[in-house]
Amino acid sequence: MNSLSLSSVKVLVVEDDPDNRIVITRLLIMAGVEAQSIAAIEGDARDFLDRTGQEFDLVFLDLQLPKKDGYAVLSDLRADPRRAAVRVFALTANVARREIERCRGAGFDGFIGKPIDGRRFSELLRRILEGESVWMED
Amino acid sequence: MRARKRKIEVAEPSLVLYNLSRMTVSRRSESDSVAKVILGLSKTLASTHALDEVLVRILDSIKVVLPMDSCSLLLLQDKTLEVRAAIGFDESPGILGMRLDLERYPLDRFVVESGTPMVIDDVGLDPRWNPRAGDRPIRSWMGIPLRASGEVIGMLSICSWKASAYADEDREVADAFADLAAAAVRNARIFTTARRKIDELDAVNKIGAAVASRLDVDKLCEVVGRNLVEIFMVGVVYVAVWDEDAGIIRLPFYSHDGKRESYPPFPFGNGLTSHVLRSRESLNIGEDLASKARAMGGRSLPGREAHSWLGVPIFSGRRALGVLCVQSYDRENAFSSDDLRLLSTIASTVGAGIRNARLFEEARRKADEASALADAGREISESLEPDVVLRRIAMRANALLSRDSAAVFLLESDGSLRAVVAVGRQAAALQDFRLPAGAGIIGRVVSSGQGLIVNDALGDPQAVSVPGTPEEPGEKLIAAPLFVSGRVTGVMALWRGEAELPFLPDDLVFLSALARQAAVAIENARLHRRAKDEARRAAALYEAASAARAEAEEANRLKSRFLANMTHELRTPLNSIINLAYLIQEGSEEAPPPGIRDEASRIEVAGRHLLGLINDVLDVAKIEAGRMDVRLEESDFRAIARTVLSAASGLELAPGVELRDELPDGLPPVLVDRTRLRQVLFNLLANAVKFTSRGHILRASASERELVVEVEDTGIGMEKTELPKAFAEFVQLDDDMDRRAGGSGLGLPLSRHLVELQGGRLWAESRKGVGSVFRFTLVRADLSRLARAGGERLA
Repeated sequence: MNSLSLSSVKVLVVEDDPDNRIVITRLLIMAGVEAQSIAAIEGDARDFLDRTGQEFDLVFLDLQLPKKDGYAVLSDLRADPRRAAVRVFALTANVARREIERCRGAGFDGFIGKPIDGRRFSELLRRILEGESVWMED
Repeated sequence: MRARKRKIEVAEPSLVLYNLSRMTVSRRSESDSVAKVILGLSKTLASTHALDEVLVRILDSIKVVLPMDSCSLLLLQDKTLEVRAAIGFDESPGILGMRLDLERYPLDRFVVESGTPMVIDDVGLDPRWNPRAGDRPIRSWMGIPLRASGEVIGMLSICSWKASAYADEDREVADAFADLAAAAVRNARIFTTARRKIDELDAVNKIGAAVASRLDVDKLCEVVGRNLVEIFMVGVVYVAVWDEDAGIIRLPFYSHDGKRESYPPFPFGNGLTSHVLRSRESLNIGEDLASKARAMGGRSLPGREAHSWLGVPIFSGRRALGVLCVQSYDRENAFSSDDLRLLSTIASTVGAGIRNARLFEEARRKADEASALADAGREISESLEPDVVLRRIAMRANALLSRDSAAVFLLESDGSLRAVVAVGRQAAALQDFRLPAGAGIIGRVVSSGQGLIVNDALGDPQAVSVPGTPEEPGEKLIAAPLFVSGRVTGVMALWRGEAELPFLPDDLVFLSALARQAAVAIENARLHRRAKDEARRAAALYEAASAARAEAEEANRLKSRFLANMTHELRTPLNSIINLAYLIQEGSEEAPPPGIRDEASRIEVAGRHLLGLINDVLDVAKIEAGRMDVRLEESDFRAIARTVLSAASGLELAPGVELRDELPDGLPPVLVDRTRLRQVLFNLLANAVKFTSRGHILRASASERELVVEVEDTGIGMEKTELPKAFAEFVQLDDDMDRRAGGSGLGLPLSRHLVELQGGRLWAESRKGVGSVFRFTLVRADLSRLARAGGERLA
């Protein structure tokens, strides 16, 4: 992971709230990574990624999505051996400990609660790229 | 003594025989027949106790040794001589039983009264001679007295048709035979007496055994009576028992002409039985019974008129308890002194038996009463329905005391008495019968507070008739007051009919005890009712309270869920607000115009503040709902404190305020929920910053048992009375301060909850105008059992 340089990192944001989508994408770009965002994923996430023709290093995944929730999307991704290296982070306003535990159990690489602290976002991203598993407050 | 005497008396005839044989042998030694006669006579005397047979044999023997044509043996009885044996008469059997009145036979009378023998050579020449029935023409006569123990008991009479038939020697021989006859009579009488004594003893033993085995007076009297009938075989036999308290005489046993009959009790008074009881002496009337009985005022008993009456008192110690009585229809003077003695002996046995039976009955009655009282007590504790308990007590009282009717009256508010419970024969008429205040015999019990017995209720001027009940003469009433807390609250009353015995003082003692039980039942029931009412009210209150509490809990639960959802919903827009405000300030290559940047900054700060409020509200809601979970881990306090300090450095500090870390090296590890500890520290620091104009300090030190953390500020401080308010939720001390400093007012109470959830305490010391110190403790991981067991989780 250390080999990842900020500029070569590609991040996918899956977020249904348009404002939040803008905020997160902007924060990512401000931090110096390439970011794309979508509102939802329909069908198998692998097919979807195949169709985009792109590969991502990080996925910031909202848990409450209209068509297919974050856990289902994660399980699609984790079932894809070609994308074993992709790191997936939960991004949600539900910051209950129970939700965090669930995410740990489901195989997320970390949990980012809303609202995000924009002023400390770069530092958070740096820690993520250094391979840390961030679990909200840490 | 008696046995020896008898032996001597029995020996007597042998001696007489010896003398007799000596005399006759000396007179007519040539005669073999004499010896034969004497031998035969001695055999008869030895082998038979039948007096008449002995006497005839004696006469036969005389005929052999003396010249004679007829002779007889007469026994003295009441100034007459009764012929018991005779030979030589034309109709000997017919002469037996004939009585000679001594007044009419002067010669016989002389012999009997003087006790000297008399020999008349020619009765025809003696003017005193009075011919007697069945006599042939008699010329010579010998009258020899029969003597026993110095008394004349009869006479031997020997007659010859020849004049001057008897010489002195003949008189001597006759004397000897007379002695022999006298001895035989005595022996026979002794035998009869002994026989009778044995029979009596048997009877007394039989009665004694029967008496000893019966502990019921009436049954005992029955047995005694049956035995008396068997022993005396007379017209009337009865056993009378005197009930001194009630003044009546009962006849538990009465029989006439061998038939067992029942006879009603009669009052103690002037009759013969009463006379015996009063005088305590036996009474034997053999003549003029009817007139004597009438003179004494006696009543006549059913059956034919009796001619002899014998009654003896039954004693217990010196008290006369009753009378044994036998009466003869057939004869006057039917009862001898022996009968009197026998009846007295039996009476003394019966007396002991009745005393025992009465003691037993008394003991049994006491036991019955005690068990009735115990049962009443048990019933009271079994049931708390006063009507049920009172009914049972009334039934019990009725069963033991009356068997007629019983009722429990309770005092109503207007002073009248109402029969709340009635049992027995007149239950229907008595039930709910109401006595006006003060009326009736029962009213007297209320006013006096004393139980009473009225054995002639109809004769009582105060008596009130109960509608629907007959006015029976001889009706008896017993009543006892019911006392509750020293006041009469009712009366328990029982009735007996005419045929029944009067009530006795003992009955009142027992009824009073039952009345006390009844009063206890009423009082218990009242207390129970009150307790039940109170319990019902309390239960209603409790139900209302728990319903309200359940409602409140439900409302609280809904509130907590609502808040949890709400904060979740709020976070998403806040994410946009805070970060877009930030991006306006910092997100572009070109700096925004100063006005816009400033406004965006205010939006961002306001957003963050709102976020803080939301977090606090959510936490309080979680704590209230009991859903705040705490995960304790062994942690380094200083490391955690440093991250919080660095975050707090982002807080807007007033000029001259600095955060100073005075945490020493080598603090022991603590067992904490890191997130929650950070939250507490941040709250306290933010709080201190908010109210402080000059610097503040974070300190920590370890005690033996725990880690103590201090956050000290030099702020406005608080009065001691304000401190509790600072820890109350949603309260801020100063409205003005609130507006200036912001905040939810939840920081301190929330921090205290969080510290307590981690096993510590949080408190504050403050001086107005000087500043405050907030202290809290944390559990030392090196001392905690949980930590040694290795990072367990607590929920």
